[in-house]
Amino acid sequence: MTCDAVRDHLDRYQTGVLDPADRDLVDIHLAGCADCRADLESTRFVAGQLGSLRREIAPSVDLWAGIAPRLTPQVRRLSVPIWRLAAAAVLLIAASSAVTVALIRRPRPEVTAGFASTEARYEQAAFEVAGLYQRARDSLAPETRLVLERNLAVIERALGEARAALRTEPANRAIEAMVVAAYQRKIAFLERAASLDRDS
Amino acid sequence: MVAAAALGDEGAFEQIYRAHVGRVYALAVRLADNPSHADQLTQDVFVRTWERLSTFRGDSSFTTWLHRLAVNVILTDRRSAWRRTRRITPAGDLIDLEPEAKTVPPGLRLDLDQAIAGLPPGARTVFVLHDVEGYEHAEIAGLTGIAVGTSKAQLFRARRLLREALDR
Amino acid sequence: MPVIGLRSFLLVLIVAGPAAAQRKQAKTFSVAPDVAVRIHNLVGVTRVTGWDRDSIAVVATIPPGGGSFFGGGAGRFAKLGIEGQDPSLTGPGSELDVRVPRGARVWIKGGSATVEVAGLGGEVEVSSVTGLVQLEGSPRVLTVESIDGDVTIIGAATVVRVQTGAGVVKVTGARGDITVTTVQGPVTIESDQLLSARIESVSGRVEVRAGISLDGLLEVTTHDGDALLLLPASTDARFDLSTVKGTIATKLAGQPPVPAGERSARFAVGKKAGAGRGAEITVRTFSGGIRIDSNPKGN
Repeated sequence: MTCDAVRDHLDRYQTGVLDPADRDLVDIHLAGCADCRADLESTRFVAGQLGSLRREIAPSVDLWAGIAPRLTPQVRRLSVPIWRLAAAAVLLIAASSAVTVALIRRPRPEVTAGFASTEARYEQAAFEVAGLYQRARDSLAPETRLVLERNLAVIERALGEARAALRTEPANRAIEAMVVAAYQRKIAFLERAASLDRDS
Repeated sequence: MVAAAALGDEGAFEQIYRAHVGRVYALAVRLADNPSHADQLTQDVFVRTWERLSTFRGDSSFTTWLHRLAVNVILTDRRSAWRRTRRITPAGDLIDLEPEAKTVPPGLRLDLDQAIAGLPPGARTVFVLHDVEGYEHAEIAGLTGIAVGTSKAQLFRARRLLREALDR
Repeated sequence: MPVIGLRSFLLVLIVAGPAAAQRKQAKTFSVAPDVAVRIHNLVGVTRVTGWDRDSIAVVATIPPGGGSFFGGGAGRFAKLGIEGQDPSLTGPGSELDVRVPRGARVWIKGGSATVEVAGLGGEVEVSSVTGLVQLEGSPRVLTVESIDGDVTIIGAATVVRVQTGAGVVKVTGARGDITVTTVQGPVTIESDQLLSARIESVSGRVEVRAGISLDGLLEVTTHDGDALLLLPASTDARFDLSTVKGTIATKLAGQPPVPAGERSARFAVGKKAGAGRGAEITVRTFSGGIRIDSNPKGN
């Protein structure tokens, strides 16, 4: 039996479920192969440790606040039989063989509140990075400052438009995603601008 | 509950989230290159789950389905993140190119999770998927794009490295 | 694509004299094939070309007031360039002509200087402010960070990262993983097989003329920049298009056009996409128009 073949059998060998003929062949190989013996030892060792591994790990913060704003409305085309569905506030339109289901979205105030806190966090991060840029600004050449701030103005305008749209249509997931994207752009740009004077 | 969430009921989906976040987060922490990305990855997994709920056919358990989706999302993100790293140059089979395992200062006792975190990325992926999550090598090859033989080799490498890290 | 040939290289040429308008300085030093080279020239022109020798050769041409040359290195590290230049980036420019081993890891810092790179296969990183950056060749990893400079990349780089503000970005031929971010600069991506591309702009127009590989990914996000995708008729992909205030227009073989006035559309084109696999193409804008057409020139 080759090393490759032995390794294929090792898991079952070490749990004792290998059939006797194969087990004998593995035994013979192991007697003369230090590498495979080492593999067997580490397989055994790790198997013994795995029992202590946690199956679940709770995140340190509640991640739902970052998930809910990203749940855009989905037009569902479900091809499972209707009896499998538990209907709840659903509008049904029957079509030939499949059932097309349209959504009615109910605005959820607690989710909008969740996004407000997300937005506040981004605003805070943008504010902090803007501070870093302000401190680095004076050591930059005037031409550099000019091009930086021209680009920043474009980014700010886009952020303003997205936020204004969100105020007229709160809980619109697509707009929330745009606001998040605009903040991320602003923060990334300011970070780069703030590190320009440093010779990396 | 899955059916209700599939129809757009966010309250139902939140319950699904609460029921499964522990498992998904554990997977993200162990599979991600950077554990601080686990938060972001976990969120990505659930957003993707929401988007794909209508494709769940009930022919496997929901947990299995969600789990496989989580593995896909995390590995896809890693592929992109890997390519974004400047200092490591990918060419072809990304998971095969990697540095040696991080060495542990002598006298420091590790728990298993710490040791897993110290594995090189390719070995860690295969170990987590095979020994922790129970995927077969053929499935791992399909999920990661590496060859079955590579997967087997990485597994034994991981086990050897873990034993060296833990058995002191 | 021109291949820089084996022209004979002048090793030492110092022109000095009271009437000389420019100083020329040259230096050569042996290095490892995977040397990490830092090249610094804020104003003027920097040309970096790969060659098949384990050495770095540089010729610097410096006008009065154009700073002074520095350079040295051995083994796996080298550093060279022009220092003492006018910090306003508008002073007289110096010219740097550098040959490095093809597998070198090259880091180039420029300001308003034009940066031209050719024939490198290792890692290339360019940090610029307003200067034009032009690269030909197939480095494994290419990173260009500019504030307003135009960036032109031609060749089959594997990993491409480009950031600029108002600069015009053109990436032609890259087949791996591409990320391009601009503020106002228009972006044009041409490739016969994209594996993964993420293009983001606030106001720049994004045009992608590319085939997407079967398990590939294309994401375009803009605020008010228009997004135009010209894809081959053989495209097999799932599309996810959405806009807040813009328009969506599609003209793809085998797919009815998205009705006017729709703000979002999700559909699959092709056999694999129809089965839930295939490439993923996502376009999101705030008010930019989204247009997806079959590329008449594609296969």
